[in-house]
Amino acid sequence: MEIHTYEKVWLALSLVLIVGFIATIAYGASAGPGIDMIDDKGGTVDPATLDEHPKFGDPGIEKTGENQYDVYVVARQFVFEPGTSEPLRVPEGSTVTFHVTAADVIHGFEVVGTNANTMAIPGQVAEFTVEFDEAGEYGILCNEYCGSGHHVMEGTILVMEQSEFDSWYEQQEQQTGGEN
Amino acid sequence: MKFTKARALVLIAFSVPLAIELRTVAGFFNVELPLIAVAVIEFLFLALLFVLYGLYGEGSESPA
Amino acid sequence: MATTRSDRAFVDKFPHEAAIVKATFLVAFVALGIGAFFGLIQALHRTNVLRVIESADYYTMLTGHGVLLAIVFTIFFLCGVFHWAVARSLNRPAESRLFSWAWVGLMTTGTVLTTVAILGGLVPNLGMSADVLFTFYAPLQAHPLFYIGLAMFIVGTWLAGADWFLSYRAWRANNSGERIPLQTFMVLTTMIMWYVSTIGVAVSVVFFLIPWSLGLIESVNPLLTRTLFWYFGHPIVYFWLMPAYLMWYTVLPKLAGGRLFSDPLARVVFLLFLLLSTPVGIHHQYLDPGIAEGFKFIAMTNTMFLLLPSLLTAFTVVASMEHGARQRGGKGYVRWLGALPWRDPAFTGMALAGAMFAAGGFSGMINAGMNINYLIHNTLWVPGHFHLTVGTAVALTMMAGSYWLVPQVTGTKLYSRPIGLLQVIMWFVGMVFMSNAMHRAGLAGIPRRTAEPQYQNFEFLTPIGSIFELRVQIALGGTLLFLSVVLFLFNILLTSLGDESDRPVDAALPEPLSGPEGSPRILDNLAMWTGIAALLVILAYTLPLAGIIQNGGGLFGGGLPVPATLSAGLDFVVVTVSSAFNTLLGVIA
Repeated sequence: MEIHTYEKVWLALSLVLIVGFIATIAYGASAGPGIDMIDDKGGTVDPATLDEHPKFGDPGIEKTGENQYDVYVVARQFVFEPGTSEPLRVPEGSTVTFHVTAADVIHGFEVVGTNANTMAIPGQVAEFTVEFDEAGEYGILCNEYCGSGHHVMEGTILVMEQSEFDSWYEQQEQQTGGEN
Repeated sequence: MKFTKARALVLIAFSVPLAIELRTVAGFFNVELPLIAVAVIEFLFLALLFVLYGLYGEGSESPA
Repeated sequence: MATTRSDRAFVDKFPHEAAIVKATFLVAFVALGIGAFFGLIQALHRTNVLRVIESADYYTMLTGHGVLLAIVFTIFFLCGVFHWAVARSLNRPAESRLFSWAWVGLMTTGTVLTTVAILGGLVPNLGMSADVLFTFYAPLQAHPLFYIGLAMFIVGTWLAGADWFLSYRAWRANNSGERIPLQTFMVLTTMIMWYVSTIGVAVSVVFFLIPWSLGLIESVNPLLTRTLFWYFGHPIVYFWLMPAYLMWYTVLPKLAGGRLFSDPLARVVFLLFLLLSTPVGIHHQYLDPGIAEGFKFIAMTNTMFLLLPSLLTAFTVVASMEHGARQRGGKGYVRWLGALPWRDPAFTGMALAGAMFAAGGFSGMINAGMNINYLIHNTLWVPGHFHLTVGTAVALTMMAGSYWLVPQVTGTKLYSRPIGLLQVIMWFVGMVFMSNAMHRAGLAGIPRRTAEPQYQNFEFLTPIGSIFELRVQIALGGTLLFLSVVLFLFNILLTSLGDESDRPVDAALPEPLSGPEGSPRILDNLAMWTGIAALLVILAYTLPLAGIIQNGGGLFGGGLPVPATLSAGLDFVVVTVSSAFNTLLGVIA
């Protein structure tokens, strides 16, 4: 079929552009920066029995290694647990793996101004890792419409100095230990 | 080429996104342009357009 | 004038088709008016400029805005344009008047039921509501009427497609060796894409959401219904866009004073949309748990290749406009732009819509970027993006096209060209303000679909300007857009009430510069392209859907989870096959 010369040039440039985009994304996702994608590695959970779940039954932070922590978060209409009624506390300079799920409808979990962002879907666990370099405070908000109170669903992450965090963490451990 | 009302309107339309993004462009050179500066620049552009329209517009004799 | 109107006007040649087009346009424009009004209320509410409703009612408005504009206005208008285009390009009336009215009636009834369910949310004691937004993600639940109306609407569109295929079959019986006329080719390929993609939403609504809303089944699998929605939710984007493309390819060059550059490339573009529109839906789910990264990667590559037909369109449209300008005496590298008929609102509206579509395309590339997407997912950036695409490239093209199409079906002259011109320019300026500020607000992390994004515990930060300025920009833009719709509806209403004219509009469409003769006949082999489209969909969706059903507690959710089984090896094979296929397609095109 007859294709004009300018059209051929344009077509070739378009293909170069497209392949270039795919290459940069493949580079960002695998090699180089190795940006962590949300995928199916978090596994699944039964939303109906979330309260009896060993982790999501009492969500919060858990030390797993030197500067390594796991955080379990439950999103439900219209709170993050933890996050809303008390801040989600993490130590400065730590690597934290989040496990986020939803108890009722689909929610969002967005750390404001960063690319830490995931959907929280009932039955699914979103797993992603975040490095907290500096002490400070971040906002969390729900960015998926979840009902009439969606706009009040917010929380905070408190990045604490290591010593401060340690004493808080110890206190927590003792409290839960005492209850048992 | 006559400077018609329609062309003037389309030029005004295209000047709006350019004016709004002026601050981003200035930002690349670490210049913080306040909103008022953008408004003044856009106003000057509109004034220029009005003058040109008065000189070469539909009502006047076309030089071309 | 020597020629009588009967030689020219669509309304005299095809009075019954013109009546159908008028009916679909009427529903479309009523929906546009109501939807735009809701949009104004939202723009003022979420920026805290003026709050006339409770924040909880914001979501009723938002559902109405999304459904009435993105589904009712766009698709009813599409049906009108397609009905006109098929009758015009095949030069024959529809096979059965009764059948045409049947689909118009079914679609309208469905629309009314769905709208009643949505607006019921504003009446507290009615016990009816459908505040589930345009995406109706379960387990958010709407009144059954919402889903039933939606199902009727979709079946109505299927019948409309059947109407056009019947016309084509009857035409083919008398014209066995001929190439499919370009406009009909565009209609048919678009409808095949629609049939393939609406299967997803039909399964979701009929098998899961309706029984669940009636209480016949206990629960649904939220990730499954969400994935089925996006199986349909991305192709619907192209369903909105294809009538705009049809007008850009076949009407805009004529309005510019020239003719279409290349007929074969127009066909290639529509085929690429048919093939690639559906196997990309997962790119709306980059942040969803429960879907393996490999599947997201496939959706991403397919999405990037979907840029190709739009880039080709940009070339053809600009080339056709330049040709038109030179026919009108335009000279120079850039100066020919001045020779275009800017006085004509139909032309100017479409040209401005095309320019904004380019901007929307760029922000869309950010959305499609699997990893950059994390920064802007579900922020105000996203509505900023689609108000440039569906909200301008489509809506403004439809309004501009109306200035040329409506006189053909009413037989009256356009009431006012200057008001029309002012209207399209107001839309452009209003959208620049609103969409630009939405993109910036999204970068600052302000969420979309949120009544009053003013939180207690933190502030949003923006590198340039302030959040306050962005709010003012959004409110100003939204107001200009609403006023633009008011001007449009007023102009169209007075047009339809005007006196009959001998020559309502110059409706002749010239032949393209390069006709279809030189192009391979295989382009017209619709059965083969349908098969390939279906195959691509199967490749892209079988494994993710199987995984979601298996791991997410079965078809209806609630069951006990089963450990994930998909191996990394399988992902790799699928990615490789799909990418190779895409590259091949690119080369063929």
